[in-house]
Amino acid sequence: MRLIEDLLGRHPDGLRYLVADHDVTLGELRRAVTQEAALFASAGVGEGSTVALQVPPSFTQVEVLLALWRLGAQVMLIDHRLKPAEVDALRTLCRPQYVVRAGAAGWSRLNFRARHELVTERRAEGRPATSDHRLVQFSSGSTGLPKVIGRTEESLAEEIARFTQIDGMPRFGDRLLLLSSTAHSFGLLAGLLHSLAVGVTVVFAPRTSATDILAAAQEHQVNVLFGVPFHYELLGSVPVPPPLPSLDVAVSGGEMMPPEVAERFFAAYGVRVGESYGTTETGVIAMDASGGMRPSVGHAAPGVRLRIVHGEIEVALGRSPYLTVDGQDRYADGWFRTRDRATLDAAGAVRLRGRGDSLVVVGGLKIDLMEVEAVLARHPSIVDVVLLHGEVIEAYVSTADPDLEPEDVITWCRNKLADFKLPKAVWILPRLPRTSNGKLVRARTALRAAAMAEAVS
Amino acid sequence: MPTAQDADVREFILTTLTTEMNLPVDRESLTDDSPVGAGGIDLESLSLVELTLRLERQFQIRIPDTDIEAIGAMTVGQLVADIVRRRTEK
Repeated sequence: MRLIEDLLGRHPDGLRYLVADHDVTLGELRRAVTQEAALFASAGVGEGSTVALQVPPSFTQVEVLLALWRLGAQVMLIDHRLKPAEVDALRTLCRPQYVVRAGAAGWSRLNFRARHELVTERRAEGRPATSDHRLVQFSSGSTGLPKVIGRTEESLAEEIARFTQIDGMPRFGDRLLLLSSTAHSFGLLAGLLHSLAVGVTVVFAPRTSATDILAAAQEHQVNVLFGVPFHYELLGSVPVPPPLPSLDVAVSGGEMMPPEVAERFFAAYGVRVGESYGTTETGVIAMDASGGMRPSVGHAAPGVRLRIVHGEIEVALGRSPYLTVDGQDRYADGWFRTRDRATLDAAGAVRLRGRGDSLVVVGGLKIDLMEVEAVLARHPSIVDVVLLHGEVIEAYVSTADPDLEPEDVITWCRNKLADFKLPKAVWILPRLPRTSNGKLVRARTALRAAAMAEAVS
Repeated sequence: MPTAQDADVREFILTTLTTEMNLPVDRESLTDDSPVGAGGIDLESLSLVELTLRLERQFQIRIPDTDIEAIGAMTVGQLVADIVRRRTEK
């Protein structure tokens, strides 16, 4: 892929690109990619081969991904945290010719390891690529089969170029602490690939703990931080936050940032948390790295055309991002429906108003479940909350308070919401289930199962 | 002599640069003699990669990776002629 040759060739050998317990310079990266590419080529990987890559975020993952792309392979990026049954479902759906995964020895969920042993398996039933998509990702799969999302080389190049035009993105010589997963769009494109393009050093924290993240930030004098709201919550909850004098930009991507989390982080470290809003299908849609535009998430990113239809945001795309029939209904006539509800202010800044599918109708009355969620989230002893609408509105809440009863929750809402908006069933759990990517699970069966398991225990 | 094909390709290149790629290019001041790279449109390599991928898709042509550097050294007029040639040769 010419994009890869360009990305690898833009800066001098000595530039520190990846930093954890050891460094990888650009020169070392080039050599590693050349070696890996030779190995994969001798195993038969070439233009249009399909390869499932299931390696934890690591230097190994970066090198292998770039090597496979150099050979022109179509890479299916699989989150290493998925369970075997989930991975099997993806393989059945996409039939990769090769599966590259990390040897199981010695890695844990919490610790970052720069290097992994690789196991490469050739699968007889695999099929070569039938499209020019070079990156294949899967939607987080809240219901049913995952959607299979493809990105072409052109779409990747376009998004990287787009990030270079966004104010507040790191520049040559900057040090970025990357907490976002590199198996997902924001971490991969804004984190790894954009950094390679402009010459940014990418630092990984040794562990997902506030202490380790802060120590890495201090040791490497990082000036930019990318994470998901969970990371900012973690860092904001430190009793005595250490000074981070070099930090001047922090951006949250992947999930709507609760304003109170951003405020707590600002109070602790003096840096406003900006927001990057996008989807796996389109990449970045709008971004405000400064955090000064909240509750807006910023203006449309350079070159992104968007419109609001029936209160939902749609983005212009050259063709459908989906490789299978699932999801095709979300693309029509050059426009992709995000299903995110949004409004544009007079200056064109995007303000997200919740999910399109969180809008429910009860007895002919429209209710935005996000509104009810927001009320519950303000309850002093409720930590997380997910609202669902089946027959009735159901609330799943987590708390550390053993005395909290469903009646208390309803009473709390009763003061703040019209009766028709009240949850009719309340489930109280010590914690709510999350996806492998850390997002709250919104699938009813999973939430019910967790509630039932809790009731039994 | 400029042909309709030339005009097509030129229009696509200029529209892509200014609209799709959102580059700060002043269409009015560009002539066929403007360099694609330094001193003209100032396309740096990442944008050049993006432009060539878009040209490939639009005109159903194949530009080998080894030709990219040469394209970066062309003028707008030369690039237009080069793409027209690739279209007719394919």
